[in-house]
Amino acid sequence: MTTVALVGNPNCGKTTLFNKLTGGSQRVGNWPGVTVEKKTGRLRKRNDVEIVDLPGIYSLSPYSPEEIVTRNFLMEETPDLVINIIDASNLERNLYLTTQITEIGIPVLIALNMMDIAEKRGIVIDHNELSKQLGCTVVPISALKNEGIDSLINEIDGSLMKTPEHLIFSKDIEKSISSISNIIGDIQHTRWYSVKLLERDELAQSKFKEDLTDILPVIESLESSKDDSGDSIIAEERYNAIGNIVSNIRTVTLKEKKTVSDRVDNIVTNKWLGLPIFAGIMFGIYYISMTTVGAYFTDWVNDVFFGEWAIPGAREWLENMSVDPAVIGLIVDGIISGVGAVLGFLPQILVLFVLLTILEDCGYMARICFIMDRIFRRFNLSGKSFIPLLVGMGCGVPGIMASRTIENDCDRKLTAMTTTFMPCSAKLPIIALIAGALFGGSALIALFCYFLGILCVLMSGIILKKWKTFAGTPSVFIMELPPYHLPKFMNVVKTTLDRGWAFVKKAGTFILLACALVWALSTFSWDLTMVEDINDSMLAFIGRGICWIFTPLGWGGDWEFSVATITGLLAKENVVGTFGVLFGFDEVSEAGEEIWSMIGPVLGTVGGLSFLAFNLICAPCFAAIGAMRREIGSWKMTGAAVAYQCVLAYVIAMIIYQFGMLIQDGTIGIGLIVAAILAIAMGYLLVAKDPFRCLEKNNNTGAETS
Amino acid sequence: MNGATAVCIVMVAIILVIAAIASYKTLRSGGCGSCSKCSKCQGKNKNN
Repeated sequence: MTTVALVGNPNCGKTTLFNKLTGGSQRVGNWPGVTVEKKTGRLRKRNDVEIVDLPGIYSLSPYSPEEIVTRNFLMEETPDLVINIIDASNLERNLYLTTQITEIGIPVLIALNMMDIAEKRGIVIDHNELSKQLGCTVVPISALKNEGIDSLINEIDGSLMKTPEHLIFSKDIEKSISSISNIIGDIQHTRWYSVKLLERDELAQSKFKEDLTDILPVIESLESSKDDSGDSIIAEERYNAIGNIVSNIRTVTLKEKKTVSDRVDNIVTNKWLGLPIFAGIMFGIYYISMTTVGAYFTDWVNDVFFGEWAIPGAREWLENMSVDPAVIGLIVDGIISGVGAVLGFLPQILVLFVLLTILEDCGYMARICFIMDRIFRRFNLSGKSFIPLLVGMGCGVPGIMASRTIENDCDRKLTAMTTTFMPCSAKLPIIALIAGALFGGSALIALFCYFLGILCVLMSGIILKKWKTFAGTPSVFIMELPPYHLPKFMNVVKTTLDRGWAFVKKAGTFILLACALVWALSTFSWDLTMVEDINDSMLAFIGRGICWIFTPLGWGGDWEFSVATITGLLAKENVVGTFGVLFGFDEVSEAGEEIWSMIGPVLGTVGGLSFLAFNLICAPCFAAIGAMRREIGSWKMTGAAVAYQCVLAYVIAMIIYQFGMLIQDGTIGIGLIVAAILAIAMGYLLVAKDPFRCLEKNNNTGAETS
Repeated sequence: MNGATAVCIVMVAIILVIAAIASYKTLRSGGCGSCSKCSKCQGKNKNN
């Protein structure tokens, strides 16, 4: 088996190329950091070649966990060939990584990607000359337009035996490298390790701890002769060499002028216009998906498909076959009603996915990170924290995993535990249900949920940074804004279908099981006899046991809401699925008067908002909790994170309900007093001085004075 | 219990067992089944 690794800078088109090479459908996005773990696939029509897609990396001195994945793979698993993808429109920065890869000694094949963009900018590259200079084959391609892919595949076999030429540094540096090589001995990748040791790379130093006493004098001698640090000396040499290469192979025929992307960015990333434009776009997206196009199809699925065909049809068919009423109840009222209540929202979710994928693909999402960095930084968070939130809009699990792109350990943990505040696709049915039933399907409710999620992340950033565990200055946010391009139709379709299919799959597994369980618990009493009144069931007993907890939030009076919230811990879609079983499908599907008459007296508009807020913010599903545990690294801290999420959800839902009732009906009671105390306490935590920031300031002042 | 009821019970039991196994596998792999794009699901599906 031949292993070929795809390596390159973030957002240079690795995953797009991976999909073209393997015929796969990995998620691609027009922003850096889409890939956080390696992915593997077989080369098309070549079962003996395995292609590995690695996270983007700027240099082989990694800072964040996903960059370490790439370095470790190259150094420890040593692929047979590296396909180094280079953005032809940005040669200098991309070649910086190339000069490091060629030092490893693994055969390298260079894919000069984005040639179409380079051509548009009047950049002409002599790829044959570049090939000569680097000592490896260079193939110009455009992965997005599927150009040059076959030529690249044809070059794979020929490149396997070709060892590239590495950079030759100036004499004194080469002398130091040679001295270090002699000290560490003849090992695999000797030159690469020697250069890294000269750069004082921490990972390399930890590998050669025992030799450090001999190596350090060599480094110090070079540093004192050059009056610079080891890594700066090497970086300067690299950039000088790259400058020489580029001047020989590249000509720019057009004068540099403002591109369309630049002009659009002037508006959408504007200091004052950026955020309102973002809010307007999100409102538009939710308006189209929840109120117009999506709602039309959802109504049809609910009212006609399930309401008129599937449920009555199944019931009639089973009754005609004289099936036992209990079994009919399980199949129709339990499974079909529960799963149907969730699947009914699929059209709205698909429309939402189409629109979000278009935004991702065209490059606007990267701009949102840039806009949010300005805001996040004021709240002790980095704009990098917004990338996981964006990914988390699809599903919390990959969102939590995307926090790996953050170098700072504290920021990473903080982001992992706040990512699920954003409404994921599983929470959309809850939003659509409450918006449809209580607010006439207003898209403003979805927008409210969105901004409530961001608000909770920001508040958590302020409050938690005052704790020692999360203290520290936020990570520096450097992000390359990719050029805008028209979304690729097939990418939008593939991504939407992938996400939609996953939603259906989940409804057929987790949700189906949960609905069957909820039906059983709501149909039988403790002595396992069928009950005529649902209030005599096991579920009602359990629900009544816990519903008092939610009384201050406005929906503790009816146990169904408490039970739905608890089943939502398994998967958030279960909240709606549980209503489907408990209230009967018709009432849930008809997001209007019917459900209003059922839940209206209990919830009301204020109670509905409180219910929505609690279910959005409280602990995520078990799968997301598991992902949090993997990223945070300890069950103890994960437990604390889940407790924090539940407490925050409770406090916010209580404040919404109690103050909402005060405004709506002028209700004043003990609940309002407690909510006011909690609001004051929260306000205090938000405005109280950050002890660690003060300490940092004092230290800096001290350092400046001395 | 008539034959139709028995057949329905067996069918529902099979569906529930399949759903339980699929849910367990998803949770055990570390994925969530919501996107099938993360490395956890990828680990099981090397050939895409």
